[in-house]
Amino acid sequence: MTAPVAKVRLPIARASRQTRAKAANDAVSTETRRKETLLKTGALQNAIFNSANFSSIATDEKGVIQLFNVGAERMLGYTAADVLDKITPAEISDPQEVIARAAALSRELGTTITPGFAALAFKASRGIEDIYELTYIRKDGSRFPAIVSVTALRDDKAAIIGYLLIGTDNSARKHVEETLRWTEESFRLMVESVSDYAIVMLDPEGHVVSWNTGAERIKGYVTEEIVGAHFARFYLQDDVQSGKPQHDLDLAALNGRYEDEGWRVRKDGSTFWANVVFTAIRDQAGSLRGFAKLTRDLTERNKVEAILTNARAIAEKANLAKSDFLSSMSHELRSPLNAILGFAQLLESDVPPATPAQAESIAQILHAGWYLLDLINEILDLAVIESGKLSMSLEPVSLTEIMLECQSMIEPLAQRRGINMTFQHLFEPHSVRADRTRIKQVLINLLTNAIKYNEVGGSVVVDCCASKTAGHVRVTVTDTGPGLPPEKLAQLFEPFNRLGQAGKGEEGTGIGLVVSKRLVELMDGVIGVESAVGTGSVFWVELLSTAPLALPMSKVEAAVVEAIVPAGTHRRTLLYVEDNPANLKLVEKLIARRHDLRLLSAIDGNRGVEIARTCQPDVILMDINLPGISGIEALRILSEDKSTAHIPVIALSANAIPRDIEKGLEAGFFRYLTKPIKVGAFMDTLNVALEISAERHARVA
Amino acid sequence: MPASLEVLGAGILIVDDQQSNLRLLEFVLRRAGYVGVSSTTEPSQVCALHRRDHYDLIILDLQMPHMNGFQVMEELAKGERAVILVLSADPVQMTRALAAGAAGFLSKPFVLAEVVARVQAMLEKTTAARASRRRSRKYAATAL
Repeated sequence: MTAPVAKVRLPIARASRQTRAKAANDAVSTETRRKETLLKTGALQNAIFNSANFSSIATDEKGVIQLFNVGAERMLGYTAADVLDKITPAEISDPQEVIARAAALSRELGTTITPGFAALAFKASRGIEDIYELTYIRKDGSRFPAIVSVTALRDDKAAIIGYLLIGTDNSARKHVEETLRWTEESFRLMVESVSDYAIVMLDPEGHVVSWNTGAERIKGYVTEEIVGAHFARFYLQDDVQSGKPQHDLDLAALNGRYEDEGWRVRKDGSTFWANVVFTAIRDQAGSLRGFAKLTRDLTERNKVEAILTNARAIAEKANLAKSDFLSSMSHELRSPLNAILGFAQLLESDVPPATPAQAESIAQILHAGWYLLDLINEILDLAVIESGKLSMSLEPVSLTEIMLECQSMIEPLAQRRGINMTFQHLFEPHSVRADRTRIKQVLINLLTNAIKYNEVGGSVVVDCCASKTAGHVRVTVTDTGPGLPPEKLAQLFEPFNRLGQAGKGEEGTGIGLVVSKRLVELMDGVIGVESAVGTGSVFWVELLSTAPLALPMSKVEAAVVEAIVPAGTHRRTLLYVEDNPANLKLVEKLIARRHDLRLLSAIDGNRGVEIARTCQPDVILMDINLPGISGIEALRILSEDKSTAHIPVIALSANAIPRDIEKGLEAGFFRYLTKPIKVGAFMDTLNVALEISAERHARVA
Repeated sequence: MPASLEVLGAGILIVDDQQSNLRLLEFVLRRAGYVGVSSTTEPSQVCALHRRDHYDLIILDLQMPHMNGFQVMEELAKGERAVILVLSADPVQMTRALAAGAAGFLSKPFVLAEVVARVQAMLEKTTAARASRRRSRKYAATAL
């Protein structure tokens, strides 16, 4: 610590020199005072000199550095020897800042101040406390921000003998300030750029302080013309007169926040329905600094919502119109087609017969005609499905039966085409939840495709097994056709995307698979395909599995049936309307043992009504869940028709929920029996119904 | 089973606004041996014609201008009982047609053989019913 001591000596030497001048007048007292001063000054000086965190620089009255402490050396990189008696602090300050400060002070104080040390010390020289920020330049040229306090050093007669500049490194604070400034700036930019909301700052009295893009967009004013204006101008005249603007501010100030919805006015005088949220802004002391006002234009939102709703309605209407159009077009096409097919059939069976060439032409007309009908039917099918008007009767269906029926339907086509058809695991008791008619339609479609799009001499394998998805049964149709590349598989279930049309000469509407997919989905199932080019395709359908349907009757039941048979009475007619062959077979077996009864059957409600009108059965047994019209609907038609109203109709349904039974009886069923059939109760009910029927018949006659 | 003479002599009225379909049906039924086949393209005439000629079977189209098949059936229901077979190009209408009182429904285009078979079956039933009514009237007369 030798250097500081060396530095200390200089000012003291000066001071002592002056003290010595005074001593000529008052030697004794001066001597005492000098010692005290020296002691005091020495302690103070030591503290100042040794402070490493503050730079302390003392100059003579002209600004030339006389003292340069440890802190100054550390901060500025100069040693005391580099600067003492050589330079002024102005030379280690940013020259531009010194010039600027000189200019500013000149203006402030109305006198010319030269750039240089005077600019740093002028205020202090006038006895004004002066603390300012400036940039110090280190010996190595690097810079740092500093806060400097300047004090004039005076002698006993108050004459300035020098200046003391105490400085501290301001980098850390500057950094914080910069960060804050940046944050504020980006926040300001963000607010300004928001265009969906008007974000407006108001002063405590309600004058606009800031204005963002959203405000400009929603209200029509640009920043320059609105800042400073009172926000009351955004209100309707009536609201302004009733004092609403101030009222809103008061509420926001009172509660911290206030939300309002109502009409506001744009620059052009037009109004809009707005949601406005005021938030009171307070400083740390709690005094009100202004308000943040957020405004949304709800008219726009309502308009957008209206547009969307409207668009949806239009789309739905268009879709409905499309379905209606398809359905009526299909009708319009069928009428003339009827004449074409009809007269062609007439020619085909005419007497005398047509020549072989004519017969060939007629066959072509008929072939094309029936194909056109298929096409129209499929379009109609699709239209009905897409309009959501298709009714499904989902109930347990035996896949074995369906497969057997499909087999007999499709076998002739396979034989004609020379395709070998195999049904595997045909007799395993798989039951699925499906609509009988529709699942058959789907399988026939898959089978027809597998045959049509196969190689000559190819084969089709149909299999039925438990699916990997628990609780499902999978039916697969595997062909040995050319197969499909992946990009074509994706289009397969899209309407009107028939593949391989070119050059294949194979008829197909391209709607069949689309219809199948929709149908399977309506049965809560899944349809899919896997294919390899050159090997063939596997189409599969997965449906929800149900418990196998019990068909066989026990011997006890058979015996009961025998016992009930009344001998030798005249035969009465029972009509059973049922789409599920398993149930039909059971009732057939029951009735077969009663020689007094003849059984007729219908597989849906419409046919049931037709047969009832034609054959006038004595009793009707009606399933509830039927394809097409329900059993209840069929009952209604029967009871409204004079010719069938008197026939007792017994409901026979798997639906055993009390409410459904009640509903059935309310609808007018004579009795409501539930499946599985309890033979005793079934026969009793049948006998009662037959008696009633006979009575009614006698009355009518 | 071939149709009996009584069936072949039944009165049949065909109602369709399209000449071609009318001609087709007339042709088919005449060829099958029916002699009492008449036709009209005017649905509004049906009731008057039925009152005059008491047809055993009316074959009715549904979609016709001015008066559709349902309106015809409504009118017919007010008068003398008529047995109606609806032939429509709109299979969706089946339920409605049956509910409106049609005894049978076939959709167009049809297979000729099916139309002939259905007409025969319906006429056999009505002529049998007529015969039994005649018989019972006769028995009733004898009893008295």
